[in-house]
Amino acid sequence: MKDTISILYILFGGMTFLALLGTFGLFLPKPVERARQKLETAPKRSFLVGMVNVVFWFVVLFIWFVWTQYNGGPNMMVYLIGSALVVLLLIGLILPGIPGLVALAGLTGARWNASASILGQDLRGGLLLVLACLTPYVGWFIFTPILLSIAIGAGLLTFFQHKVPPPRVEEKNS
Amino acid sequence: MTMFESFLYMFFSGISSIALLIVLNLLLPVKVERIQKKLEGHYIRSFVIGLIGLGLSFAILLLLYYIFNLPLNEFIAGQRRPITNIIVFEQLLIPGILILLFIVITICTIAISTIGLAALANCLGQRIEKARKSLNPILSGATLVVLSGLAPFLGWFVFAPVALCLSFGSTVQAFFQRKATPRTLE
Repeated sequence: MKDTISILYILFGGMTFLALLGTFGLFLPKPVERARQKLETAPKRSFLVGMVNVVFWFVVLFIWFVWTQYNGGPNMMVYLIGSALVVLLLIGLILPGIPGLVALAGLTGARWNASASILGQDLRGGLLLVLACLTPYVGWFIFTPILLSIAIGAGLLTFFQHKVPPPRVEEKNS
Repeated sequence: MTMFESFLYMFFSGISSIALLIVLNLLLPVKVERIQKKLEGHYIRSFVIGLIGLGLSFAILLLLYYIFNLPLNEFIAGQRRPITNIIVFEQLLIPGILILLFIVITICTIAISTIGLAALANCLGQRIEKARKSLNPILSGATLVVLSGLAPFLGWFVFAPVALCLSFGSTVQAFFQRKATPRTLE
């Protein structure tokens, strides 16, 4: 019975995540559109940037964990500041990752059914992505990390990209 | 786990596997198309390459598992070296490298096979589409592949291994194909 409840919990969790993707798609159309452009033009670069950032965060988390557990532990103030920094870094990854994920869902949905509305595309793509991530072993350990890396990378690239100013048109007075 | 829970697990695993094949088809259309061409053109070659590749991967994994379980303590203890060297060498370095190699090889094998399966699903879907255009080709192909693999006995022991070998072989061929150099006209 416990396993049934776990399966139902994961299913409803997936459904709520789907709703979250749809909501963010409606709330943040511009960042999502920019992330989608990045996903279409530079998927490998997005993956690499995302992977480097995720690995960096895990290294920081690991060092912090080892230091707090095996080194006698820092005093309360250092502990609080360190924890806050780790959480801030995590938020810094999640915030750009959300538009990236929505963009990925939208891209999948658009390729699945191009004639659907934007919300429909997001929801369909999101459903496919969530189900794919729930696949035992292949989805959990291979597909989900790759997907998250691509989404975070695309989001980060859109946040920190240089805005190219439009070329000036100089009028010749002759 | 009761019978009902096993059934539920199988059911949702099947649905999520279908979704994974569809998503791979949608996110990597060019690669899947390339693998599909290799698959359709050379069934036997793909199967043989896949069989050899998968066999080699399993052999390497078994070898790594065997080395991991070897009694290295006695071998290293007889070498009369400082204890710190032994601890670093025996308890950290060797197991770490072995586990890393094991994980990398497993992930690569599974990933290569999964992309190939997506191409196989696409191939089947396109053939279904020729007969009946109202069905979505990728969805029908992926459903067919997953359900065939879940069929008792025949699916588990015949279809699934053959499909895995085919997909592995075609992916390897597509990824490591030689680029034909254009002939120069003299």
